Amino acid sequence: MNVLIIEPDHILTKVYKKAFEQAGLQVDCCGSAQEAIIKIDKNMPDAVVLELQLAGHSGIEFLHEFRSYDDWQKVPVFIYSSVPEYAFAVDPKSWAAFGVKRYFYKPKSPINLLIGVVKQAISNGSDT
Amino acid sequence: MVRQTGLKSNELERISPLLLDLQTYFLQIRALVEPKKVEEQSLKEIGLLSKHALAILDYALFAVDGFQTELTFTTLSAAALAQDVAENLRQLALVYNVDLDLDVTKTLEPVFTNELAAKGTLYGLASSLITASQPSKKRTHLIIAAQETAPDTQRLGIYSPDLRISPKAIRQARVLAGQARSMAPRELHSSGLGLIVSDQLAIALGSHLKRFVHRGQRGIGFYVPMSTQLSFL
Repeated sequence: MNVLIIEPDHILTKVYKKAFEQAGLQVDCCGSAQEAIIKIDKNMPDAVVLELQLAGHSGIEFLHEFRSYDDWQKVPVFIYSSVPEYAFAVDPKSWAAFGVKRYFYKPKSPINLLIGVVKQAISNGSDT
Repeated sequence: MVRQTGLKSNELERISPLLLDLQTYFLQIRALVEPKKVEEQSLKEIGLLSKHALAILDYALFAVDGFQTELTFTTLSAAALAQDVAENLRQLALVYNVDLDLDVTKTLEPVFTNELAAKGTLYGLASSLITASQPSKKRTHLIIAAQETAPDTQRLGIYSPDLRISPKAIRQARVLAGQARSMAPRELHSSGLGLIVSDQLAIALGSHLKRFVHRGQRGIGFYVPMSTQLSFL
């Protein structure tokens, strides 16, 4: 079970990596959209955890790029962001169209909740 | 009859960088205490983050005051000021995988400036660059500098081979302050509060942030006049 975490903050990256590893998941981390695309190209993860507020290309731009390749269509994406969902005036179905399995707003979602959902999604073959 | 709505939306917008920065610190602190057994290192980092958050909030509040009252200028050492800021940020830099150094011209004459505003300008700039460093990249190198650049002027600033902030980014931050979640989205993932505090305090000092090149590396800083008082002595 290999998870790619796209998180730009040093401290949060370190804590999330440790928490995922303690839950038995292999973790790779990166801080930008460009770096994420390069990493995924080398080693496709079983799931992606994405912060939308990144320097340079945003998480939304990453989603557009990521879903533009046929072989990356089935990788589930979990948004774990400090930007609340209501900040985007979009239909929740639009997230689903991007293969976003669930949107977690960081202030209201402890990391263990995210880990549980990601583990279950990977175990179920991303059918959650 | 007009309905009372409390704060106007534009007043709330103005403080949004402060609120977003606070949100980040609280998220970091919560994440650090979330494991069942909190490690000693995490407690140290919580202490460090709290100290840094309080410092940047203090400078932000001072920046607000700086535009309402006239700043008092005194004669002081730019070298000591740069050293203070470097010392205050050294632990934060370590956590963010940044090598922080100090480069001060020997035998600098005293300058005439407001100590808190000059420190805040340097602190805001340096802390923005430190916290903007990417987690998976190699160590970045940042140098806090105080140099004599002309017979009566000294420059306080930051230079680095990895510098990502330009005057263009600062102009953009000024325009986007209170309008966007990140005021310099090409360079910073955070709200960029330190950058805007630095910009505002430099203006309050009668200066502004300018680009420079030192030892072949790009830098950004502000200029302060030398103190004529002590030069005369």
